[in-house]
Parts: sequence; structure tokens; C-alpha cells
Amino acid sequence: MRRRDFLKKTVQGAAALATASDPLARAARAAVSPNEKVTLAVIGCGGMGGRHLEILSANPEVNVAAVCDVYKPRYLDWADKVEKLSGKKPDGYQDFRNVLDRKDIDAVFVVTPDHWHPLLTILACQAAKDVYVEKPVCTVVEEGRAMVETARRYGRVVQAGTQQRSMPVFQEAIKVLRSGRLGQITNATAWVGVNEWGVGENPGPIPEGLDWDLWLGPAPYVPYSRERQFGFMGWWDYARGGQLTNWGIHLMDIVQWGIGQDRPLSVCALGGSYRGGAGADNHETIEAFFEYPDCTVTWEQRPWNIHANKGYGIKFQGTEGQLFVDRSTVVVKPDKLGIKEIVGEPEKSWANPEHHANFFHCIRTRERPVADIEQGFRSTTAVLLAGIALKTKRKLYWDGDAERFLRDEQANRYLSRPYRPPWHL
Amino acid sequence: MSRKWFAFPFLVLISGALAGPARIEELVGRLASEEAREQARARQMLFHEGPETVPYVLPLLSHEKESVWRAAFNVLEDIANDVSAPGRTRERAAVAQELMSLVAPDKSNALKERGLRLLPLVIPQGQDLAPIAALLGDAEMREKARAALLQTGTKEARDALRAALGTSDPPFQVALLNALGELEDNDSLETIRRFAVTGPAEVQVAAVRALAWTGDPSLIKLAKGVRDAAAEGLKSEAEDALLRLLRVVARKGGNWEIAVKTYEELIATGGAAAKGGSLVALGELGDERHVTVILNTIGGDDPELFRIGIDALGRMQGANAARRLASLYPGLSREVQLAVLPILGKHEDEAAAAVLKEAAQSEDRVFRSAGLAGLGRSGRSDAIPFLLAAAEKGESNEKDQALGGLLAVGAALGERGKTHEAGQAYLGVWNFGGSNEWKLRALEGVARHPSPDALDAAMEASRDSALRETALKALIGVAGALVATAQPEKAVEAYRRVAALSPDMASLQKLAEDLRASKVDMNLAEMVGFLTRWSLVGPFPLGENKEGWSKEFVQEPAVDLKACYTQGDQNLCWKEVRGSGDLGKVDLLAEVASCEACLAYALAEFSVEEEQDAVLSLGVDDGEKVWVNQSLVLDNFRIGGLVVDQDKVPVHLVKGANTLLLKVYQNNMPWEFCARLLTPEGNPVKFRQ
Repeated sequence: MRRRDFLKKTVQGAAALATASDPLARAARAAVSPNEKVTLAVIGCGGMGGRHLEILSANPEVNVAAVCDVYKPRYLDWADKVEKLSGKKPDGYQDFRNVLDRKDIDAVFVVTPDHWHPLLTILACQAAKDVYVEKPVCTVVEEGRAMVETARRYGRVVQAGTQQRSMPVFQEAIKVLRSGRLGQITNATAWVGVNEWGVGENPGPIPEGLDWDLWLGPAPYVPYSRERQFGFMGWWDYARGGQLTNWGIHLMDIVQWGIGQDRPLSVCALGGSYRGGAGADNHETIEAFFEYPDCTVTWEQRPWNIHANKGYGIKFQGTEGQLFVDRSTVVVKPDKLGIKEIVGEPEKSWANPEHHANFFHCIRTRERPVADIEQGFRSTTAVLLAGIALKTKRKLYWDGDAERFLRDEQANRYLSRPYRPPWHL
Repeated sequence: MSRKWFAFPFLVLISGALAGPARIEELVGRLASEEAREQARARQMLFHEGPETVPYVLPLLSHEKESVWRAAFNVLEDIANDVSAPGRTRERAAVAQELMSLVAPDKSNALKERGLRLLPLVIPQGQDLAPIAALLGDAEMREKARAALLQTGTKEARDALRAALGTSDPPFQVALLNALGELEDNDSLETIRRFAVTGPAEVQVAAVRALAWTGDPSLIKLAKGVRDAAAEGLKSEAEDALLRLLRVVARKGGNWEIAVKTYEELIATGGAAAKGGSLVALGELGDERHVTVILNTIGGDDPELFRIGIDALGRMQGANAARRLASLYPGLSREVQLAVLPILGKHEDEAAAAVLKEAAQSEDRVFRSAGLAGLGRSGRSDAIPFLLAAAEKGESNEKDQALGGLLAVGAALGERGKTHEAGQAYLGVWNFGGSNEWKLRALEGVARHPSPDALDAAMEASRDSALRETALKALIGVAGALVATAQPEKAVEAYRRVAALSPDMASLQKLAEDLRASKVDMNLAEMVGFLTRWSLVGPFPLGENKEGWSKEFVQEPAVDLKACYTQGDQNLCWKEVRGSGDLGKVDLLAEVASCEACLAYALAEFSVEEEQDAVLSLGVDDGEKVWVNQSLVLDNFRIGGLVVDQDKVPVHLVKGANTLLLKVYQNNMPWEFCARLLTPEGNPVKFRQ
């Protein structure tokens, strides 16, 4: 029988983070008043926003003072739910600017559709708030760089929602990779199996309680449709790549962490929607290939996709062995390496309490968080580049320092996007 | 059978049979069909027909069915992207010209909008953009035209945006200025400057923002003027524009004084965000002269500014700032003193250290804790006694603070090569930490920066299964440190313990390297349980049908070491050899013969003090048959390289003398083996040879 080691919650080693149980974290907190709660607001009360609110409402270190959503029924509903969970009813707002005006709010969670992530983060930083921004942090490279610049300009703590950085199972995987026991890593493959997006929309009247103009924000004005409001990931104006930028960012973040690189040298991509969806903005099948110094990386996105019994995950290929990791286990082959399978605690929610805890710790200590905005931006950049390569249908060469494509003026036009007035970066 | 199944090969046939326009027309027909899969295939294939496809697909862009016009849009987008690759100048210009027809005055707004999305992908430098520029005056289309020009970004696009400034209303002027600022258009600077001076307030603010990228210090006065004149609702935007400009000015270098002076002004007169941004900037750019400015700013009751200011103080570089802070410390409020203490620990400065030491011994427990935090950050060896005292006797919070501080000091000292002092710090954590969590941290520190003083702690840890793995790493390091400090007997003690812990191959190899480097006289192979003394005889033929594998060339398994065997014209007798290297490997190519498809026998005799169960752990190239005490325990005919510990066999050893007989098969290339004896728990068996 194969032995398996169950992972403890306490993180060890050089990659240790300030988790709640970590002795160094306790030591750091010892210098700060234990009565100091973080007062925060959640902007965006949809699916993911709701998950965050469930966890935050139960966190005694946190005061959820406000919830905000352009769709009034949502924020009203969540204000009631938070009250039931925490005993205190937050204020509800439709317009995020009212939230940012409040002096008592220390930090905001940005959990809106992707196209709002950059500007909300920037405005929140300018309003002296720390920010937890969901992934992908931006929809074009220029936005991401502006987010980093603003965070630094105003000295804010900005955590990207790449919560896998706080999950022990991935931290253990990284430790194994860093140990050198797999030899030199020459390739990493990230894969996911996903469904296609729908095509088309039925424009109709704006629902009661929805500020459609504010929902659109910096994106081009179009008439309201339910398909856009509830399926934003299928539209180029709000999400640049669909699952590529939804799941891809999570997996490519770990890839880049594992290989120790965050600036690809080149990228090319093939793909399409082969079962239908000729009119869809974002493709269902994408094969992307990245070149980094000393290694290649492959991204596979298909309607169905299994490797090593995992429907999504990452494989690191070294000269001496392989490592497979997803949110539940780390498996290392061959067995003679003597590294037993590592099993993580089952994921209870996509909102990760350890990732929250790290954010709150950094709010107090002003350290850079484990998924600092610069790193979240670089991980997002990787998948954005793949999306551009897919669009331009050619291999693109990337200058990671200048953040421009080499010798391809037209591809560089994809690095920015116009903002609809009055919004601007 | 479904229709869909039939359609697929039909499509393939059509594709092959038709050529040029006919083929394109056929595919366009499929694109306009109801069948999703046919449509998808047509989209994929049309792109491959190249830019000639464009005039055929353009009409579909105004198709009444959404699925059709969207599919057509995607085809055109694919082609536009493709022809815009470097070098395809003529095709690119031709496609751009075709697509420009979409924005002609007689086209519907929906079609214009689709055209404006496609055109930025393909418009080359030098293309006349008059049809798009004309739309800047159309109330319904102007924003989309502006967006298209912004994305296009050519000189002609910038000219069009600039030209529209004079004829637009203020809200659109702001949008145009935003675009020109994003494009960083040098040709527009004079024009934008004029708008920063004249025009409505929101336009002036947008103009300053659009100039910020230049980092031109001569614009600071202008930007300040705009900010001073801005109404309350625009003030923060105006200040943000000024901050953007200042950041670039400061980064460009040569204008530090003016930038810093302006930051100081903003701190004195700006809104909350401007104050905060200016504090951050002073933290990055300022020096000891600005410590007082920052302290004065955070003296009020704004918690945000307080945090930002403290953070800014912490970012200041150099010992002078720390010294200044230390000199001002006695006059600060209690709250500020507490916040400043950890900062003082960041700098190696005597004055700062003195403040920290005093705080660490304060009657006030909150100050003690903060002082300890600061000392922990200091990385100074003279912080250790204070931290040790608190770790030993402090209350719970202080204790944790002190232990964390000792780890940090140990790491800092270790990085600087002061391993003895680092060891003192880590041993403090080991001795006073109490829990395994702290002990583990201490061991990790010792493993990174080994000190000879940590031998006892590492040995003790190696007896605790929860700490064993880290203790192993620490012991290897400590053993090396003992050799380096000329304590070979203690080094041997450490090495023996490592060997007894049955380390993995990577640790074994590290151990072997260290032993070689240290020149300590130890046989690693024997330490970790490898049998190193063998008697060998061979080679014997395998035979074409592998018959040699079951043939008894010697009296298997009760061999006679005095016997010799005739093989062809050779007389083969047993000979004694010793395994070499770290693993006691026996190289049969060297010791027996260079042959292929052949066999050799190897016998090891050894004795143990007690009867016991054990695990025989083998690595063999290529395959092996194994007898222990004349009982066959393994028959493994295989072709493959030697992997240490690859084959594990449970065996039973008798008290006293035991024998191990191997029959080793050689396919080709390397021919070798190594064998060791382990307890069922994985530790080396004690035996004598």
C-alpha cells in the first residue's frame, strides 16, 4: 500500500508564510494591538464576491462595513446575509465611489467582472485603501502596469486573488521543485478542461435596480443584455480570453512560481471553437506554447482534458522526474525518488482564508503580500500574451522588461485598450 | 446516420475540388448556414483563404442573423490580424482600405461600429484616416471613433485626435486629452499645454495629466496652478495629475530638489490622498532632512496618514535617517515611539540600537515588545543577550517576539558569515522555544548556517521523529562546521548519526561530498550499510536462449570459494575485491570481464550479533538472482541501469555468519551492483565483514 502524508496546516521552511498558526506570524502580531480589526468593503457581490463574504463575515479579525454592487438586489441580499453570519449589518451601496469616500474603511475587495479590476484598484489606492483584487488583475498589460505604479505611488498593500500561493499543497510542490530532486525543469504543462461559451445576445430593458452604465464602466457602451451581465467571461470587452484568463491565470501563476521565471521570451498559440460558436469572442480550445529561458511551457485548454487522473493541473517535467500538482495533491514520479504523495486539505471554498489572513497581516505590517500586485500582474500578463498570440496568429517575441512585443507594432496595439469616458487610467 | 456526419466528408471533398473564388463562395455560404459545426469549420477555413476573402465576407457583416454577422466579424478579425504581421505591407494596406469602407457616411451605425473595432488591428502608418476623423464630430459615434484612433496610435491617428480638440465640447476634450496623454504624443505637447492654461477646469486637469509622462520640471508650476484653481470636486484629480508628473520628474533625475520641495508643499496643503502619496514619495526619495516633515504630518489623528507616514519612515535609506529618528525619539508621542521602534531596527546604527535596547528593558510591556521587535530586525549580535533574556523569562507575547527576533538575527548574522553568533541565536530558540514549531525553526536556521555549537541540539532533535528530517540536514551542516573548526572527533560523531538516520540519496551524496572534502577518515558505504567485501567469479555465458540463467555454473547456492571453473579455454577462479566509492559499488566490467550477454557470481560473507529480520536493498545493472544463506530470495532477470535501493527484499539473518550470493546478468554497457542491509525501519544493520 502506498503511504500518503497528510499535509498539516502549519507551513514550514523558507517558503513559510504568515498563516494564523505560524509562530513568526504570532510574533509579528504581538507588536500590534490584538483589538485592531480590519474594516473593509466588498465591491462586487456576485458568485465570487459571495464566497468572500461568507468567509469574511465569519472572521473575527474583520469588520465588513459595506457591500457594494451595481445591481441593487445583490447588495441588499448580501447585506442581510452578512448580518446573519456576523451579527452586524453592513451598509449597502450601488456606486463604489461612496465606498471609497468612507474614511473608516481600511481595505476593499474588488470582485467585479474583469474589466473593472484595474480601475477600481487604482481608484481605491488613490483613496488610501488597501486592495484585494480578484484575478485576472487586468485585461491588458498597460492596465496592470498602471495598477502596480499606483500601488507603489500611494504605498498601498495590493493582494492579487491568486490564492493558490497561500495553499500548502502548492507551497509543498514548490519546495520539492526547489530541492533539485527532479533535476533541471525543462518543461511545465498547465491544463484545464472547460466548456464553450455561448454566442449571441438578446438585448432588452435594463432590469430594475441595475446601473447598466456603471456596470459597463470603461468598456464600450452597448445595450443591455442578460448574456453580458451574467456571462461576462464570454465577451472580449470584459474578459480577454475566457477560461484562458479565468483558470489560466491560476495555473500559469504556479507554473511561473515553479520555474522561477515570470517573463516569457516568446509565445505562440493555436485554437478555435470547433464544435460551434463561430461567432464567439473567446475560444474553447487553446493550445499555447511559451518559451522561457531554459524551459518551455505548454497551456492546454480543451473541452475535456485529463492528465494523471487530474482534470486540471500542472505538470513540471525535470531531467530526473515529474511533479503533478492540483489543489488536492502533489504526485511525484518516479517512485524511486522516494517522495510520497502529498495530500492537501480539501478546498472548502474558492475564497481562501489563508490568503485573506496574509492580506490582513500585510495591512498591519505594510509588508508586500504573498501575491503582491506586481506578481499578480506578471502572472496575468502570461495569459494575456497567449490571447494576443492567438488573435494575431503568429509567434510573438516578448521583451519582459520593456513590456512590449519585439518587432511587431500591430501586436503591441493589443497591450492597451481605450477607456470610455469619464473613466481613464 | 445523422446528416452532420455526412456533411463533414462532403465539406472536405468540396474544399479539395473547388479553387479560388468558388471555394471562398462555398465557405461563405457555410458561414451563413444554421449548422453550428459547419459554421465553425467555415470560419477556420476562410481565414486560410487569405485576404482575398475580405470582399466576400464583408456583406455578411450586416446579416440579419447575429450568429452570422458575428462569425463574419471573427473571420475578418482573423484576416486583419494575419496581414498585419511584419513585412506584409501591401496586403495590410489593401485590407485596411477594404475595411475603411465600413465607416463611410452611408453606412449604418452598427456597421460603422464593427468597422471601428476591426480597423485598429490593421491600419498601417501613413494610412489616411479622414473617414474615421470625420466621426469625431458625430455625437453618437465620436467615442467609438476616438477609441479606434487611440488604439490605432499612428501619427495620423494622433493628428486626428489633436485636431478635434478645438471643435469639441469640454467632456469630449477631456477624453481626447486622455487619449493623447496615453499615446505620449510629442507633437501634441504645445497644444496640450495651451489647454492646461486656458479652458474649463476639468479640461485643464486632463491636460496636466496628459503632460505628466514628459516629466518636464517646467510643468510643475503649471500643474500647481491648475491644482490651486481647481474646485473641490476636481481637487483630488488635479493633485493626482501633479503627483503623476512629480513621480516622473523625480525618476528622471537631476530635479530632486524641486520634486521634494513640491512634495513638502503637498503635505502641507494637499488633500488626504495627495498627502499620502507625497509621504510615500518622501520615504523613497527623501533623506534625514525630511524625517521631521514626516513626523509632523503623522502627529495628527488621521490613522491612514499615520500608517503611511510610518511606512515612509521605514523606507528611508541610510543610517543618517535612522540616526535622526533616534535623536528625535525622546520627544515623540508614545504612539509614534511605538510605531518607530521597529523601524529603528532596520538600520545598523549605534544610536538606533541604543534606543531599542532601552525599550527592550522598559517597565512598559508594550514598549518591551516593540523594542524586542526592533532588536530582532537589527541583525546585530549585541541584540542577542536582550532577546535571550526575553525568550527565557518574558511573558507570552514578548517571548514569541524574542524568539522570532532571534531567528531573524540568526539569519542576518549567518548571511554575513558570522556563524558562531548565528548559532548562539538559533540555540536560544532551541533552548527556550518550548514547542516543536520553534525547534523546527531553530533547526532550519542551523541547517542554513551551521555552527559547531549546535551539535548537541541537532543530535537531540534527531531522536524526535517529528524533527528528524530537518535534524538530518542540520547535522550534515554541523558536521562540516566541526571539521572546519578542527574538531574531527565530534564531526565523526555527527556523521555517524547521519548515517544511522538512513538519509535519502541526495543527503547521502551531500554527506559523501562533505566527507571527501573534510578528509575525515570514514567509510561512508559501510556507515550506511553497504556490503563492501566480495568474492567474484566469471564471466559465464548467458546463451542464446537464456539457458545460462538457470544453469548452475558454480554449485549454486553453496559455493566453494576454493573452486575454479573451466569455461572455454579459461580457468575461472574466485577472487576477492572491495566495492569502491561511496556506495561500495562493484564494477564487474573492470573486475571480471568486458563482455555482453554474460553472467558473474558475487559472494559476500558477513556476521551479525543477533538473529533479526532485515531488508536487503539492491541496485543492479542489469539483473540479479539472489540467495541469502542459500535460500533463493529474488529472481529478477531484467535489462536496466543501476538505481540504488531499487530492489528491496525482506530477508532473515541468523546470529553469527551469513552469506549473500548474487548471480548478476550483463546485457551490455555498464555491469555493476551495490547491496546494503537495512533494518525494517530503514536504518543500517550493524554487521561485520
